[in-house]
Amino acid sequence: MTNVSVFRRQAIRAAVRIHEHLQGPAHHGSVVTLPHSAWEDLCQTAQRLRHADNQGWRAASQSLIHDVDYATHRFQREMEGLRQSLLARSQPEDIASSRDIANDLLALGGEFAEVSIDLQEHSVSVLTAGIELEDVYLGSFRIVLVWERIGQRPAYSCDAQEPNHPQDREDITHPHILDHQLCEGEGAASIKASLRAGRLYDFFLLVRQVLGTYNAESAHVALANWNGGLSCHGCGSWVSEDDYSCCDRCDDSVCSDCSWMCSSCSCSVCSECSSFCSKCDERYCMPCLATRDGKTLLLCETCLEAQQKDESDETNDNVSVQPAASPSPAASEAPAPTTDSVCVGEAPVPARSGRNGSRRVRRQPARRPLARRRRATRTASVLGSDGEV
Amino acid sequence: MKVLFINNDGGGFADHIEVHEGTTVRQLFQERVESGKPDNYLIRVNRQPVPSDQVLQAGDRISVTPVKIEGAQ
Repeated sequence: MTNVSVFRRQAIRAAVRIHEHLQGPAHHGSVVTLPHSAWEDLCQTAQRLRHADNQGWRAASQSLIHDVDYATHRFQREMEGLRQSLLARSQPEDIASSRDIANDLLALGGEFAEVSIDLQEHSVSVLTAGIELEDVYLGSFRIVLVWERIGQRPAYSCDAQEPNHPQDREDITHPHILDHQLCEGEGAASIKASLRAGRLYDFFLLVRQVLGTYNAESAHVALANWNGGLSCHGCGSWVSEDDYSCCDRCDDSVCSDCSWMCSSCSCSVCSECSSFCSKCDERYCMPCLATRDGKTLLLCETCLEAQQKDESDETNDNVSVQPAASPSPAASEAPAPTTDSVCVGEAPVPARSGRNGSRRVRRQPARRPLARRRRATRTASVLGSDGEV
Repeated sequence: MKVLFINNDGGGFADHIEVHEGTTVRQLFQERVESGKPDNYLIRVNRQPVPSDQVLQAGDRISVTPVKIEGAQ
């Protein structure tokens, strides 16, 4: 028996089993999942844009418009995927016949260097040609579909055959693959639809085309940084060695999106070493913020003084003040800060434990601040003509 | 005559559609993918690449897949 006829028999057997799975467990097991995460992300991003618009922060608004567009696009994709899944459940006759599935499997040989079927593992795999994106050679990928997992996620994996990792990131073998899982982006709805319908030829073609396309706007690691760079301690995104800053408080390296300039002492700080004043909404390093006894709201010196003045005018009671960071013994005995002092309390920020390795790598942080204060040397390009600093 | 048209651009719709006798692959593409250029798509008839002037037959399976599909992170 020739290899061709062996493969043909395997394809027919696999097609029958795939068809049975699609008619049964895949069809009835799929859960309606609303895109809550995408919706919440869109709502938060839109709220930040509204705030920036209300404050007249033009540079921040321009940046946030792109974020809203991205979030909208993501929500739209996930809703479309949901529609397709509902449509498939309401129209079971749209599932490919065993014959069509078998023809799909047999036709894959014309598109891929290697096609194999493992009846015991319930898998079909194809080998792509070598993939090179922007002069970075990533090698060929084996796309392995486990048909019993159709209807669950993930049903397939993309395994690099000649892994070319970015520096210190062995979990990434392609700008859009993390831990062997492809982030399908624009292809998500079509890929899902093709799997549900059993159109395996279309499925493998779609995955191959995603692998062959580079989206610089949304990569785990940008190809420009594939052979160098470091990970932002704030959001985990990859930054080139020329495009990061160090927090003056904790010394961690952060990207420009996670870097702030204190509105009081002008030090450069990361998101964890800084916060917004609850009153004026400006950003400060933690030593330049304070809380009052019994309160958790952080206030800058100016707002704190204003609040104290209001209250003393009303009640004539003195209140004690607790700084946001633990003060040195000498500072704790000092009198209430005067208008000339820069920081309410000055204390070293405890060393951070390091990068959160459990956070998924993102090019943009999950929560982007409304307004930025950046180093003057690095931020000339984002300043608006309204003099926003 | 009826053919199966699969548009893998966007939602990934697969529909049986009615086309006139003598319709070519190019004509069907222009009709169904109005804003697209053929060079930007993988066009397959019955899972095979075909010339754009090939005349469609009843029961043909035509699929249109974008060459560039952007992934995400």
